[in-house]
Amino acid sequence: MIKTKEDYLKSLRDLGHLVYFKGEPISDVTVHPSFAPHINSVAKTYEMALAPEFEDLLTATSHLTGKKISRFTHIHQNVDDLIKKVQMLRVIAHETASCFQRCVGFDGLNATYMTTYDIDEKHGTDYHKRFCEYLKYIQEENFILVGGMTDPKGDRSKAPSKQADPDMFTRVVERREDGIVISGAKAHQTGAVNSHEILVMPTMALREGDEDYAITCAVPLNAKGVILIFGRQTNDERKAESEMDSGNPDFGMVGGEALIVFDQVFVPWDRVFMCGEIDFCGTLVERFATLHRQNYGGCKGGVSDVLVGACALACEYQGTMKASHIKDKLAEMMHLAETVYTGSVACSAMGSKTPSGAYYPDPVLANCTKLNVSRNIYTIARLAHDVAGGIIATLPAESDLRHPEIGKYIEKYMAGVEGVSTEARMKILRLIENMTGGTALVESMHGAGSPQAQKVMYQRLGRIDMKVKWAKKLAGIEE
Amino acid sequence: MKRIGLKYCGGCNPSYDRVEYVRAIQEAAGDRVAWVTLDEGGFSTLLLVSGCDKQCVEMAEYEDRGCRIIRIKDSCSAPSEILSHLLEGDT
Repeated sequence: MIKTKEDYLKSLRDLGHLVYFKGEPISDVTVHPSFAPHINSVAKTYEMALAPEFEDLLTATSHLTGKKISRFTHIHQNVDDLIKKVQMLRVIAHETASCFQRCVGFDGLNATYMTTYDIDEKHGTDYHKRFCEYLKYIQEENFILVGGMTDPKGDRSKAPSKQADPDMFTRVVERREDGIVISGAKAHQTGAVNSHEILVMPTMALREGDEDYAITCAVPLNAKGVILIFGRQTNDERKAESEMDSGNPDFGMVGGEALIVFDQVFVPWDRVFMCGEIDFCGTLVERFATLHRQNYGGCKGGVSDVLVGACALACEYQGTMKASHIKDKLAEMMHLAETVYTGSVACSAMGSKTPSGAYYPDPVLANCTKLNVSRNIYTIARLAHDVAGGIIATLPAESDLRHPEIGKYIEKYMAGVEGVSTEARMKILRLIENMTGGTALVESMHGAGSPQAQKVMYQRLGRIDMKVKWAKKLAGIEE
Repeated sequence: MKRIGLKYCGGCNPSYDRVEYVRAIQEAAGDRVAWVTLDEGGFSTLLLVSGCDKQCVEMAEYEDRGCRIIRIKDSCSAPSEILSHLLEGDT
């Protein structure tokens, strides 16, 4: 069982999965500068679970075994569990100011738990029993799970079975007595290169003719035929160049995403939790999306807390802290952060019990939260740029500060208030740059589904008919 | 040496530095107290450290057992004051 950071690093070294980055195979992800910050961020979830001051949120009691487990492998048993999930995400974000990657698999586990129960009720299958056995294994090992939902999708106007290339959506290519063989890919997979397994799920509701694409299964990332290709991030070469210039040297920037390719991958039946039940794809996707959107006010709220602190410190170092417009902008940033957190707590508090016994957040409020994140985090970043100043876009490199000839000029002209080192000022400005640029922002827009996906949910679940009824009644319209 | 249980809330959004404050209490206690976790057990007094007014951690199970619980939700009191509550009744 993985308990410590050291256990986790060893487990990744032992995994021997096939990872590529910039055209090169990576033999040991744990020592590669491009992956180390993401690994540290996940490792923090293990470290905090062992720390007395955090364990109340980071751990839970398994309803299957009664054992103490990581909350990231827990099935929500009540509203309090839903709220604790959000609180946990906020507190970890305070420690990392980055993405800690485990929520996707966490949400996949909960969505699959609920949905396999419903499939069995309708079709008389035994997916739920299989899944519970798998869940016990994940809880016992304390593994990191990729939540594999997003397919590449090719031509978005066509159904999976109508694509020119049938692998644009992950599919079953062969059914055997002992299992199935899958091909296809999952894109934008958070934390993939430093996870142990992937929980493959369908990417959208499916119709008749797409049965081969209605697949949910668990695949170890070292399985034959699985290839991981790590994506680039804004300023990613700085991770290898300079601690200061990378901004957040220990924990990097957001999740670290990869394309996961399945080239004829065999999956035994005990790891298959849906195979052909097109009538439950929409339910599974919606549940996963709601559980994932629930998170965003927690983690992004926590990350924003750190950004507010970084901005306040930068202003203090620059002598602008007493300006009234700075105080106002910092207050606005805090308001926006608390607004997204409020949404996450609200959708959790209004959660309800599913037939499986697992609890589920209010889907409309979870959607509201994520849509607010896609806006508020950009506004928070804009305010951060405003108060920090243009210096975050023009700051010289750490190597200039350390240079024997020109270092004295950087020291002199990049200085702020008396008594604060130039190095401290440069470090905090780099952290702000790291947290508000490129990849860091796009994740707030498209993670857990793009804004339009949330609008679609409003159209579906927003009860506009009831709203019309109330309006008609108050206006005295009877026709 | 008195055994005292130590339990923190999860610290989602604390209004003060819980760990630093507890460290100050521990420093004031010196070797008069052996601090133990809930799992270790063997205590009849428990210091419950919450980060805010919500004080979300439930300790009914320990109260039912007759355990004396001293609750902290901010750093307003002097650490020595908290310590004297914890050591109350000891000679």
